[in-house]
Parts: sequence; C-alpha cells; structure tokens
Amino acid sequence: MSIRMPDDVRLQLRTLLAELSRGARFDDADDVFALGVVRSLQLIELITWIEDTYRLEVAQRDVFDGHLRSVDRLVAFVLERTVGS
Amino acid sequence: MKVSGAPSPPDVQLKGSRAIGAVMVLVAVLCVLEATGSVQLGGWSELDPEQPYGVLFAAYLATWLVARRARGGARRIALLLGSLGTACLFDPWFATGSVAWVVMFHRVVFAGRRVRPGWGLAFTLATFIILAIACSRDLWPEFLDAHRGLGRWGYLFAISYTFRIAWLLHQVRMQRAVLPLLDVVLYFVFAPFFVIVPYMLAIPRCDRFCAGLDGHDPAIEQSGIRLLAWGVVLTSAAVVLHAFYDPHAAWLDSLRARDAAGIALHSLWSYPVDATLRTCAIAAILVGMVRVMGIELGPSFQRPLLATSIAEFWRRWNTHFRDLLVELFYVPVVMRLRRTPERAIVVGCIAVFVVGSTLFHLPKHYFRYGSIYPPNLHIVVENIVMCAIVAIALVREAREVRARIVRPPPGPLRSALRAIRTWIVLLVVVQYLGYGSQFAVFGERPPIAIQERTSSHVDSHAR
Repeated sequence: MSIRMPDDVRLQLRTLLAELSRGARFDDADDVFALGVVRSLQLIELITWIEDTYRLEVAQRDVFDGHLRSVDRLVAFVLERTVGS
Repeated sequence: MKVSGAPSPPDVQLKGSRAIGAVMVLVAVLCVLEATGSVQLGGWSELDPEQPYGVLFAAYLATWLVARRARGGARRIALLLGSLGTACLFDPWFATGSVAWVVMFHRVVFAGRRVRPGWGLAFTLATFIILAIACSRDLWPEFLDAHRGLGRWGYLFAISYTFRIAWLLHQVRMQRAVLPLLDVVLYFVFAPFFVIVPYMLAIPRCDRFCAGLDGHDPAIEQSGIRLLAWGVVLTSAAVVLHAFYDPHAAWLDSLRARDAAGIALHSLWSYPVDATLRTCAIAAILVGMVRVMGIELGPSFQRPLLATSIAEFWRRWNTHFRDLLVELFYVPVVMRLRRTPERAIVVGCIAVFVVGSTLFHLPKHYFRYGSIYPPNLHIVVENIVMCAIVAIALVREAREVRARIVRPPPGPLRSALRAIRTWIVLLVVVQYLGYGSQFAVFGERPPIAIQERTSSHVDSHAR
C-alpha cells in the first residue's frame, strides 16, 4: 500500500504544470484551462503523466467535472483516487 | 458571520442602484443605435431585422430587476416568468412550442427518474427530421410560402437550441444525474436569448447555467455590465468608423474597377477586421446581458485580431463553440489515443474541424434555405484546410512541449507582422478558398428562404 503525502503531490503537479505552461504564472486555486496554462494540447501530456506517475486511470468524466482544472483540484483528485491503492 | 472584505449593506445598495442606472443607459444607447439603423442586433442569425427590440429589451430589464432581488426558488420563478414573457413578445407560437418541446424532451430523458441520454438524442434527431420535412422547400414550396412562420420556426429551433441540446445531453451522459424540469426549461427559454438570438455567440454549459440560477452574485453582474459597456463601445466605434470608411463598399468599388491592390487592401480590412469587430461587439453585448443576469459565461471572443497564428486564432475565436467541440469531439479521441499523442492530435483535429464543426453547421444551413441544396461546400473546404493548418501547428507545438523548449515571446513588430499574416491566411482560406469554391461549383447563393418570398429559388439553382 502506498501512502501519498499531499505536499509531495502538490509539488509534483505544480512542477509539471509550470513546465507545460512554458513560463505562465498561476496560483494553486487558478483555473489553469481558463488561464490558458493548460490547453487541449497539453491535456494529453497532463493525463498520461498523472496516469503513469500515480498509477490511476483518468476518465472522460473527470475532465468534464473539472478535476484537472487547478492544482488544488488535481491534488484532491489524485489523493482521493490513490487512497487504499 | 461577517466575511472579511464583504461590502456593508448600504454599499451594496449604492452599487445596486448604480448597476441599474448603468444597464438602463447602455440598453437605451443600444435601442437608439438599433432604431437609427446603425447597428444590427441579429448577430450571426439571419432573421429579418424587424424585431421589436425596444419591447424585448424592456422585458429583459423587467426580468432582471425582479430576479436580482429574489433568492432561491423565488429567483427561479421570477426568471422563468420574465423569460416566458420575453419569449412570448419575441414570438408567442415559437415560445409555446419551445416549452412544450422542452417538457417532452425532459420526460424522455428523465422518465421514471432514470437517465437516458440516448433516448434524448433519438428524440432530438426525430424532432429535426420532422422539422426538416415540414420546412422542406423541395417538397412543398407553395405551402411554405403561404405559411412562412413554419420555416422561421424550424430555423429558430436549429440556431437557438442545437448547441444547448448538445451540452445538456453531454452533461447527462457524463454525470448521470436527473435535472429539474424548471432548470431545463429556463436553460432553453432564457430571456437574453430572445433579445439577441444566440446561435454560436453564446453557448452556456448547462451545469454552469444552473449553478447561476441559485443566487445573485454582484461580481458576475458587475462584470456583465462591463462587458455590455464594451460591446456598446465596440458597436459605436464600428458606427463611427463606417461614417469615414466602409471597407465592404470600398472593396466592391475596387472589384468593379478591377483594382487588384484595392481589392487586396480593402478585403483584408473588410473580412477579418471589420467583420470581427462587429461580431465581437454583438457577442459582448449578448454575453454581458447573460452575465448581468448572474450566469457565469466567459467572453465569446478574446481579442482574436491579436492572434499571431491560426492555431492561436481558434483559441481566441468563438470560444464557447470551441469548448463544446473540444468536449464532444476532441476529448473522447484523446482519451482513446492518448498513448500515441501525435496521432491523437491529428485525429482530434479531424474530429473537431471536419466532423464536429461541419455537423453543427448543417442544421442552420438547411433551415436557412429550406433545402440541402446548395451543399455548404465552403464550410467543408474551410474546415479541411483549417484542420490541416492547425494539426500541423499543434503537432509541432506538442513536440516542443514534450522537449520542454520555451521560446521567448516575439517583440511588438514581429507580433504585428504575424497578426497580419494570420489575417491574410484567414482571408484566403475562408473567403477565397471557401466561398470561392462554393461560388465556382454552385454559383451565386440563393436567397434566404426564411426572408425572401421566392418559392422557386431551389429550382433556379438546382439540378
């Protein structure tokens, strides 16, 4: 059983988004899609990275529900999905 | 509990009276501009510009004034009654038919408290087929000439509801939750959309629309007023500009004189710049009116003329339609092909541009003419070429993202030159390749059936 620390997950996701955004500034609560930090192009990279790193599956509904829209929501999503894994 | 930074009640009251005054003034300016013929509030719909705008704006304002003081269920009732009133002033038969259709649609999708998006899609397709047969000028042109309201209702249904039906069914498919009938009715008959028929200029997501029905958020209202004001400023700027220079008229003069330099210059200003300015103005007014009502809806256009590439242009242009296409066509492809990213991008672009966009343009095209003839070849050509340009750009960009390559932003001169290059590509693809192909193959466009009293337009161009 792996236990994920929220701060580690936050740091990893923040780093990934900073790399994908190519220098754009954003806060943890910001909607990174609305800000253009993550576009439909980077969505593929974001999804595959999350799936590979945290060994979980992202579904279309997760995209629709906005679980990937901010660092805060991403952290909550990853922690919720990896609990007990 | 007092929230830090929250305004005190008198402050709210003061801002409220300012808000009312500001909206009244802006709407009055719009009514004057419309009454003098300086502005057409039809947007991308091609309805006769003879709507009673003064009355419709008054109904919209009355709905807003009552609803902004109410909360919860009372606010929903106020919005519903005001919206129905506005709809009836717009067209009582269409309003009645719309409500009846929405109630049936709701019963089909949520019968027995179950969620059946597939049935909803089938019901929608059946509605379109019935309307298409009823509004076919190939089958009964004389009857449609005698009953012109029928063709207009088919057209209104297509341009008003197609995108909202798509969002609603997509949400139902994703979330599998039953939506209240009242919310669904309001989603379809919302007052601002009977002042300016939305077509593609404002397509709210159903879940975000419903979230805005619960309460009056002054921040959203204020931003709506700012957007409304921006729309009035853009409209006024276009009116003033046209007083000195009408690029379309100048372009036509150049065409007649066979002046190649004049044609190039005026067409570049007429199509991408002037058309964009006018469209952005109407869109800002419409989205502003929706936000004034407390519904969160982002601007439809984000300074598209500043785009330095075609891929960037489509991120700034008509963002609600783009979001819908991305959710419905791009994301499913990406989810399936995400392990082969470049293939996912190319197939995703084909799904968005060639399949999605062409599919969504079809109903408007059909009901505009009452016939599938002439086919909208220009949209197909435009979409195929745009798809190729955007797919190539996105694949290159994806490689840079994967390699973590960061390019410094271009300077102002280079940005300006790239923006002009983007305008030229747009002009060439949309006007010359798109409409040029249409004209070359099918000749001059027939008159719009819902406006012109010509029953023989199909015969004169077809077969």
